Amino acid sequence: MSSQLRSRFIPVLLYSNKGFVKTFNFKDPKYLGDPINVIKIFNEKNVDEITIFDIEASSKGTKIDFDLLKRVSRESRMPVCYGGGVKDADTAEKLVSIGIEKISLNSGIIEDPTLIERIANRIGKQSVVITLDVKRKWTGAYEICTQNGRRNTGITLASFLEELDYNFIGEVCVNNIDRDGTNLGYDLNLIKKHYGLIKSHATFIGGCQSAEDITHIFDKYGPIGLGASSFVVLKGKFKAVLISYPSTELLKFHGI
Amino acid sequence: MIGLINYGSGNISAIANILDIANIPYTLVNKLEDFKDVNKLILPGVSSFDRTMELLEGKNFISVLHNLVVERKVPIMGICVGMQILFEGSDEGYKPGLGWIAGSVIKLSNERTPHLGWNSIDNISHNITYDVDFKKGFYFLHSYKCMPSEENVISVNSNYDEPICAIVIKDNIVGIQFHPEKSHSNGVKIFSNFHNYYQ
Repeated sequence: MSSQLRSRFIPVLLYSNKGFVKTFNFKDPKYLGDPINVIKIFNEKNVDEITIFDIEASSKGTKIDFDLLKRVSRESRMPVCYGGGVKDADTAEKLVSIGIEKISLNSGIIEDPTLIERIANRIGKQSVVITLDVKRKWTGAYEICTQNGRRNTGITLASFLEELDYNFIGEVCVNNIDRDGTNLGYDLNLIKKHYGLIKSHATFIGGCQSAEDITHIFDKYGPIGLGASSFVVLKGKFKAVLISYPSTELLKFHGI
Repeated sequence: MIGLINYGSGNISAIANILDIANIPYTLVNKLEDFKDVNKLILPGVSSFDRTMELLEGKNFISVLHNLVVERKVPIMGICVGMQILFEGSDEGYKPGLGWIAGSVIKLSNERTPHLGWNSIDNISHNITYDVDFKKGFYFLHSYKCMPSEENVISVNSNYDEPICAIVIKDNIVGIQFHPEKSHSNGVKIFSNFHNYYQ
């Protein structure tokens, strides 16, 4: 049998104040443009899937923009993962009912880990994504943060991953705050230390530098997910807004 | 005209959007009367096997679907859980399925379930896969798989450390495990082929 599940390269779009933005170390949002236009461009580029994080819905408690997500889901010819402000099963089910394929849970599960099972029982584990924002400590361990990186939880990523019940989780997404918007390359140490601890699909976000950076990790760990934002939405030293996505050839057909 | 069965499935607007873009005429089937103008059907899936069956029962769609698909041989394409309920039952739930294809739906054995992401499918010459890029494949997102037990069905497989039934075809009935509405141009071709070649 020749078929083989491929690695995924995923544009990560941050939603704030009715538009998509790009942040640097989770701060200083830069406006990218109208969400539906951005989705249409990614359609044309045959993107594997997209992830949208509403960076206000969770930290500032603003309401989830269901109208926008409904339009996004209708326009998007690739699967959509949404995260931000999902703290109960009803909200998760409502998002699935408007066509969002995957629901990302973040700070809500740090406060109440039983939320994972309740949501999985409602929408199915295949649609449950756990996203963990992490910062590297001086000890070399990675600590989970919430509230857009402003609150340290004191919980290490490794210990959290070891205790997760993967019966209710389809994917774990690790978002590296230190590399956000830096283009310094993915933190290979972070991936190396934690990939094996994740007993579901694993996706790492933060620092993407080049197509070689991506294919190196695909070759070593695939199938794996890698997310990126500045790499796919900004170009050049002045960081001008330009939506792009590496070609299938550049990604060596996603690690096959 | 295609009847797109609307009973609370989340991916219906994305499917409708693709049918619009591809100029494929369709109508939303919201209630029993809406079946009268349709000569083929698309059955999307929702979250789980039992939930999907419950919603169809709640709309009183089951007996009319039996009549159209089994008696009158109206073509139908079930997508994702909409494929799984074509079978007799599933490990995921307790309810019987529509039972139009003999076999069951079982849990994937891979440690890293679900089967999530882009995967190729076996090359097969059939109307439903006309002009499809088999290597590029389709987007899958599921934790259970169909196990057809009849000999007279065509099963097109993908692989995730075990064979995965990606497409099942039995006469006028087609089941699609992946998400054609989220598989770019390759997925659009599945809808076009269903529209062009199934009468």
